[in-house]
Amino acid sequence: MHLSAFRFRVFASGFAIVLIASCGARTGVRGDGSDAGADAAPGPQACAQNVECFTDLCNPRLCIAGFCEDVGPVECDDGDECTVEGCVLETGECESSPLTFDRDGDGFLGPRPGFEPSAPGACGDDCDDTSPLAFPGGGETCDGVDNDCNGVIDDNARFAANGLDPVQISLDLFQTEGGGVAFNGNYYGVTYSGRDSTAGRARSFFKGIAPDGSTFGMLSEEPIALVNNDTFAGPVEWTGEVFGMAWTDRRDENFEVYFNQFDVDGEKLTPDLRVTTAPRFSVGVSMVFTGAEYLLMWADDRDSRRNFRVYGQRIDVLGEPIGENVALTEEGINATGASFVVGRGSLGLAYKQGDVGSGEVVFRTVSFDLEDVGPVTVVTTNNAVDPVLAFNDDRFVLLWEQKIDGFPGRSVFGATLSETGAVLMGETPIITSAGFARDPTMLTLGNRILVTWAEEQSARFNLFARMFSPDLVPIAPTEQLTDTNGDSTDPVTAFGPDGDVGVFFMDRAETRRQRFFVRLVCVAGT
Amino acid sequence: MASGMIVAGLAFGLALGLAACGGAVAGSDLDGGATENEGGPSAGGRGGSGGGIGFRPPDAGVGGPTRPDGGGFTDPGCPDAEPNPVDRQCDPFSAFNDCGPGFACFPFVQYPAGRCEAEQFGTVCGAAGSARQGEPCGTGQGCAGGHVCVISSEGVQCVQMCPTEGADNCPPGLICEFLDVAGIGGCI
Repeated sequence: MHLSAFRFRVFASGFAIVLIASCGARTGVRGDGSDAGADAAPGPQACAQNVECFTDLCNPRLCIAGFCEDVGPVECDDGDECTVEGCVLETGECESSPLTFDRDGDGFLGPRPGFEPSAPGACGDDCDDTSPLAFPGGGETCDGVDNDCNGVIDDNARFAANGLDPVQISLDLFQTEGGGVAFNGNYYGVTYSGRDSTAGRARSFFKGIAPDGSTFGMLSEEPIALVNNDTFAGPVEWTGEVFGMAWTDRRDENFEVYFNQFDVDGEKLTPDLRVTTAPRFSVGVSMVFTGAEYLLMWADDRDSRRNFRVYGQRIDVLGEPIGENVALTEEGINATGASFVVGRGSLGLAYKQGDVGSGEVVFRTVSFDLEDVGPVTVVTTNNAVDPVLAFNDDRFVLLWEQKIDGFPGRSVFGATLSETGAVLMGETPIITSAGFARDPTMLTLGNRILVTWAEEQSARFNLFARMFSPDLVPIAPTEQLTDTNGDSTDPVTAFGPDGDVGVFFMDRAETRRQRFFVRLVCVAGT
Repeated sequence: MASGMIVAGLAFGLALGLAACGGAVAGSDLDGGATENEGGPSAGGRGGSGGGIGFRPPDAGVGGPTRPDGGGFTDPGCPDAEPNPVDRQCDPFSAFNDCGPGFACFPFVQYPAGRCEAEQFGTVCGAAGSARQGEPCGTGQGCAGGHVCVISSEGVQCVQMCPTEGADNCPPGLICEFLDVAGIGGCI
């Protein structure tokens, strides 16, 4: 961040003035130390020289005709919409600072929230201000980053299974579930819940994984919430400086959403922020970091028992809430399974609505400040559940699980929508094998989309990944990531170093539920 | 993805949670009076306080908020407490219905009564309904024996109970996900 200084330039009186600030201020009408008449309206202050009128340099007073007179505050406006200005009391000079920030220290400012990088009024052109490896003019390498800010990550590269066995991350003491993954430039930070088989309670943990999947010497398993009740890990986001985490637990009478930030050493930065204070359930929290603030969304039946609405909350980079919880869906529609993502001009929000069996998944846009919610677009009414949303280049990409007729199991379908919610490509099968498929997740690369999912073959679920075009057409062979004795499900993915994609997932090998890690490696394109 | 699995009440007002992927769980009401989280000592006591604004409770920790660049915060946490023994009054996986005709064995959870207390988990006999895997429940319709009513990302539905260790015997394509009673899961 740079600071620029310029002389104050506006005085109401128009006089040429020299302020003398070094001799100390003199105050009071009386000058005798008496407080008599302190409640009376102050009268004119007699003076012989300017110094006797001094208050501060930003609100100058001069001695004119024997009395102190205000000559108006220093007004600061450098005419640049991308700066904020203010008068410095100690110097009386205006200083300006950029309206936006260079959080990743690469010398390029990120855009204002809601603005595309380099767009008019964006006040920044860094396409990813959480990564110092991404900036306009950067050299594209295989690193999972849009280095040159051309809208494409790892141009022309492909992703292949690394051929190594998955590494167990969680400890045998627990049976685990849930959580998220984010890479901070040095290690993958993962969250998960583990139920202590002896104590029976579910605890949530934060742990570091080296880029090669090892945990030796990395951040050990740190508890997220130091309470005695069940806690359920949720998403984790890396801001460029700290990890933000959201989760749910029952310390306050029923399920509520909580948030906190952790530094790279796994140290909690503040007391846990209780995000919700509502009757009944506040659960299923998801989160994004926009570059300027955190956004959380979750399902909440505070307004009507067993009839859920999607609620949201903004949280600033200091971990403080911005405004109150905001209802993002109407009452009475029973909105569950929400997934949301940051688009260019708005957020995209997808959820299932209706009772069990409705199978209706819908999409709508939401403004970044959560104040404006767009109209509903019904994407499918065909046995759909668990939507997953991503944004790629100029469109929202929506995947969901669809129940197969006659079976409780599912397969994966998808659609794409414009930035305004118009359906670009309607309901399309994504996984076309004969087996059941579930738990899709996406990483978008601008001109293609990496989809990872769990698929049942030979009576076991394993993980697979495949690259699709922005229109969800397969453009590369399917890569198999796991082949274990148990079911591998629930993958969450994040870009890591050298273009690798870290895949953090559940596996039931050896009959116990543990969290494992495996990688897709980036193979540079030509 | 079976994320956000949540929960619902059972036939006799008993509620239980399914907690896949960071989901949550409902309290229970073994007294049959209040509904989960809406009051009654077995539902965690006082219910929600309403309102719904984000805030940092004054007793959430000591030392006050510390900014990300400040460091120095130590979470005092709760003094470690022994978990309550599981109140297992019946076996939900038994091949024999030990609850008698018209009844079945269901898991339950009572929410903690204070910030640093633990839940009470257990199983108890309750009136069996007729709803099975994937069928709605919680609004007067209860789940059949071997099933439990959960709030999931699909809505409030009955799912088959399953053991979280060993073979789960879930229907084709489904996975045994956590409930909030140790050792008991639900097919999702």
